[in-house]
Amino acid sequence: MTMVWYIKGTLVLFKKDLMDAFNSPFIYIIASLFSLIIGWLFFNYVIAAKDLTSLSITNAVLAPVFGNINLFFIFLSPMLTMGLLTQERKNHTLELLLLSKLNSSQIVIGKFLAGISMAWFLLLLTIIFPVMIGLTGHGDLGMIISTYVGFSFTLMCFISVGLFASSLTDNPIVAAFMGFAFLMLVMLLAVSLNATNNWMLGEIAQYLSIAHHFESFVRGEIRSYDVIYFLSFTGFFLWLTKESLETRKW
Amino acid sequence: MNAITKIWPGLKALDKLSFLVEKGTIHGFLGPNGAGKSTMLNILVGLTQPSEGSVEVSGTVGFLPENPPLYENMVVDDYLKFVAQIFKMEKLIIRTQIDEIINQCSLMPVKKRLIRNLSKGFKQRVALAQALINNPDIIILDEPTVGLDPNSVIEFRNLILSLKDKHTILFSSHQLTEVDKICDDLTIINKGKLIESGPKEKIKKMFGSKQVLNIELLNWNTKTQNDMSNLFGFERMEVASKNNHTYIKIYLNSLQDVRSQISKYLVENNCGLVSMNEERLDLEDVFKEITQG
Repeated sequence: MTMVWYIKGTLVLFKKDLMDAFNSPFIYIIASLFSLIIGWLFFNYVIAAKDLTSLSITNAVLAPVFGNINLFFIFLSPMLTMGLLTQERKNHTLELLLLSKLNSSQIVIGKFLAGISMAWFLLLLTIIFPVMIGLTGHGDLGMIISTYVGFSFTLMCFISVGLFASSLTDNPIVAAFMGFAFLMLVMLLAVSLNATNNWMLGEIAQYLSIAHHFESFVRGEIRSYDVIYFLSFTGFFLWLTKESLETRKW
Repeated sequence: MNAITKIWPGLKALDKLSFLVEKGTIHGFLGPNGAGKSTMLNILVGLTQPSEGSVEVSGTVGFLPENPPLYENMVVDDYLKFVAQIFKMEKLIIRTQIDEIINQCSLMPVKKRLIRNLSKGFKQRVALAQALINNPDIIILDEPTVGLDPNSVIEFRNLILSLKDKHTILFSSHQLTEVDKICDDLTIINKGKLIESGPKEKIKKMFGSKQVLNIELLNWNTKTQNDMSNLFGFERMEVASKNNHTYIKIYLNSLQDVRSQISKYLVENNCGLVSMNEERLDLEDVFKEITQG
């Protein structure tokens, strides 16, 4: 298999899924709800920031908004990915894909890119908040850029988990719940293990939690330590998805 | 195809199944529901791995699964283009190839319509077009006419027949009339075991060698009945009467055609012969006999 075909084949599938996603009202419904809620939160933080003096506007308003956006994506990502493989399975088109000249890793990557694009579509809507703060002259461009880099990494993790969940079942609701449950578990694990006072367990759980690695991005730091974590996390779940597709042949 | 065994957990779906599909023929693959037809075909195209045995396929394969793999939200033309692309076809020939196949499958009127809105007959044809797109040597169809109305079935059947020149066709069905009409060769399986495989005529002869006659008479009595059975040696005879007419059904042992002798006898004995026709045992009966016996 040549590199050219690998990329071309992946993009054909990616394009098809993208058309699918943006031709259905689902993504726009999610996008409007998402903007509404985040916009409302932003407004509240701005009002609250008026009373504070010790924090910069970036830290008082944008940091908590970004934290909330990240939390929201734990719910939203599995909803974006829930149809990606379940629908193929339900319509029996997965057989068509598996019989075609595409190999399973092309299928997984194509689907993953489609999921990422949907998530980025939602994320782009939030750019208006830093822009508004920026217009007041209080923006911190470096921090904002590093946060959006951080978002891209966390979204990769969320989407890969959601994609794996959707490869396990042909019911989109079940897939969404599985993805959500797993992301929640990773998050809660860190919280509860930290509470045990066992330093060792706490550190391990913290390392595994996505939020922990995201924090440094919000502070404006981009560390290879976090980047490696995000890439290996995503790679692991994409690999699991590929394996899950291939077990269908047994 | 060689000694294929497929074991699902707790169920032996296929048991050492072997058969051969000749090049350039239409091969019918028959079996009752649950016989293992779909499993077999999935193994043939490589969607399922056999537990034992090996499959040898010479050439490219186009597959129309039992459930047509269609993207309901796509336009027919775009769908075929997508399929052509994932089958790695050259960009330059995709357009001409799609146009050709659209003509071949008579999809012209629905070319620009959403697959979701098509009738089942058209959907099935789009699915067939999908299987033909990369011009495969072998086409495998899994129960292609299930759920179509009689007209669509006939159209679809003609479509399959028209493909015979260029492709080898293997298709599964439990509808015998259909297989009888278009196949050259037959393979019959039941409960995962091979029952018969070979040319259609040979199989029909093997299982349906008896002649059956339906005769309508005005005069009938037990004497003629005894005489006749002595003369012609029936295997079995059914007698029924209705509106003063007697209807008899005769199962003959011999392979020879004895219609002229029987009609001569009936006329000479004043039985008032009204009609007589021959009933051939068709595949339906063959099938019943084999799968139950």
